[in-house]
Amino acid sequence: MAPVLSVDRVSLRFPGADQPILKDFSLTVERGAFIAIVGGSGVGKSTLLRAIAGLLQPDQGEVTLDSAERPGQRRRAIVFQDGRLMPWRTLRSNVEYGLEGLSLPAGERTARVTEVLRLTGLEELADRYPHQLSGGQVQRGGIARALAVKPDVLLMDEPFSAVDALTRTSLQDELTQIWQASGAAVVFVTHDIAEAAFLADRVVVLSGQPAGIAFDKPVPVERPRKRDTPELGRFSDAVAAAL
Amino acid sequence: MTALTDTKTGRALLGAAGLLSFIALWKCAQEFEWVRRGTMPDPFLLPAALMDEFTSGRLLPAVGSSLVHYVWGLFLGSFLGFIIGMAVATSRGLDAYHAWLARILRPIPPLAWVVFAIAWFKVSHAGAAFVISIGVFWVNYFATYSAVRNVDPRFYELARAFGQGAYFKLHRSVTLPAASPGILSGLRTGVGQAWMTLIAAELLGVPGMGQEMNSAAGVGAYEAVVIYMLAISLVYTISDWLFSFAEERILQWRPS
Repeated sequence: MAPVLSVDRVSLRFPGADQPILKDFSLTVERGAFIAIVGGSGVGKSTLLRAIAGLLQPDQGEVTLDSAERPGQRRRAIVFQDGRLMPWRTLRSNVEYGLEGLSLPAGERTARVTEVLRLTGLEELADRYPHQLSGGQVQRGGIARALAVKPDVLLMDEPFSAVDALTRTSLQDELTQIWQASGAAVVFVTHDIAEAAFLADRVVVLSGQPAGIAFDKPVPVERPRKRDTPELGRFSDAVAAAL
Repeated sequence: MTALTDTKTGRALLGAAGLLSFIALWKCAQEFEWVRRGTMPDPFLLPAALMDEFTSGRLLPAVGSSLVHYVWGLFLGSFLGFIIGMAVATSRGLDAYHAWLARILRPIPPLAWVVFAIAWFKVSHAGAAFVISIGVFWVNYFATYSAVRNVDPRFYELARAFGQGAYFKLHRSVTLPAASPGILSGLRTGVGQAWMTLIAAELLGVPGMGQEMNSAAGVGAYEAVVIYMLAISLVYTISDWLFSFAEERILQWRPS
């Protein structure tokens, strides 16, 4: 399948740093695929994700999206580690945020918001403010906001690292369904190897300074997956060995 | 055993007791002439003084005149302070451009401008409003500036990620709401600050409560001076209450 996203020989250095964080870094993501990027803290996972999101400009190389921008849509959308809902907006209004710059008829906008709130199980909470939501609900809100713009590529920056273990497990199960329903490609950054193996089609390990790809393999387990499948465990061990 | 401070009635009783003991102390000071004879108002004569100021037709016009200065000065100062504070906080160019000027003008107390207020506007409503607006301007300018500078930059990243990174979209969707608690607290400080400068400006000659106080003091009618002081307190309390009511409405998204 044709790649929907190509990172082509990207170099990026933060002002004042002596080493670039990324140097001649390349990666392609297939249409609709789920890629997990794993690596230690500070290796450059979030930097790579921000470069893909267009929030950081590479010094060299380029990030290309192979899809035409359709009206009423953004090709990329991001889910942040901290959820990042605006405390002054209700959940519904937060989810609507990405649609405000798009020229959508009011009816279509409302329909989209309702649809993603239903998909993420948040319909009942739509009129609450973020401080009235739990950590897991805030993360679902962040996912709903990203889905509302119908992205071709959904970027997720350690979205479940700040929630408790029980909530994380159910969010992972929900994410698998949401991803399959949405048809978007997902680039999912995490430091949790088991999470990466359980969720992704393909796991990429970043390591070194500047960051390089130390491991890049498809997860050899059919879906629907079970967490206790021995193959997942063996795959996780292989990923851990590469870290 | 429950303490007196645990119930609403108990606290009200304590408050009333505090007020009454203050009046008693005051009456003693007047009765036993702790200060020069004739300069301490008699608290028991205040109701009569109030009636006198009211029936002589001095009180209400003075309050009205002061309110005109107050509303205009407050409105102009708040509006300009907010707009300019917002503009310089969101533009590095403007920030550098105005930095020296602000550093020079800021330490000048609003009352120092009374000289020019009288020269330019004569003794008029406009002059008083002008002086008030200067004090209110700086309060709002600083409140807005620092509130905007303290907006969590993660929300700016969010705005750019969702296509709202252009100047007006960014500041309308992020800066304004995120800075609104700080901006509103500046407005509220201005509501009080305006009264301080107002009375001082009127003491210098513009008609209003300050001027009535001055002329009452001139003929030794200190009870009347107290009436105006209490009127100021009352009007301030009402305006602050109205403001806090509006603020609560606007900031209802905040965890209480």
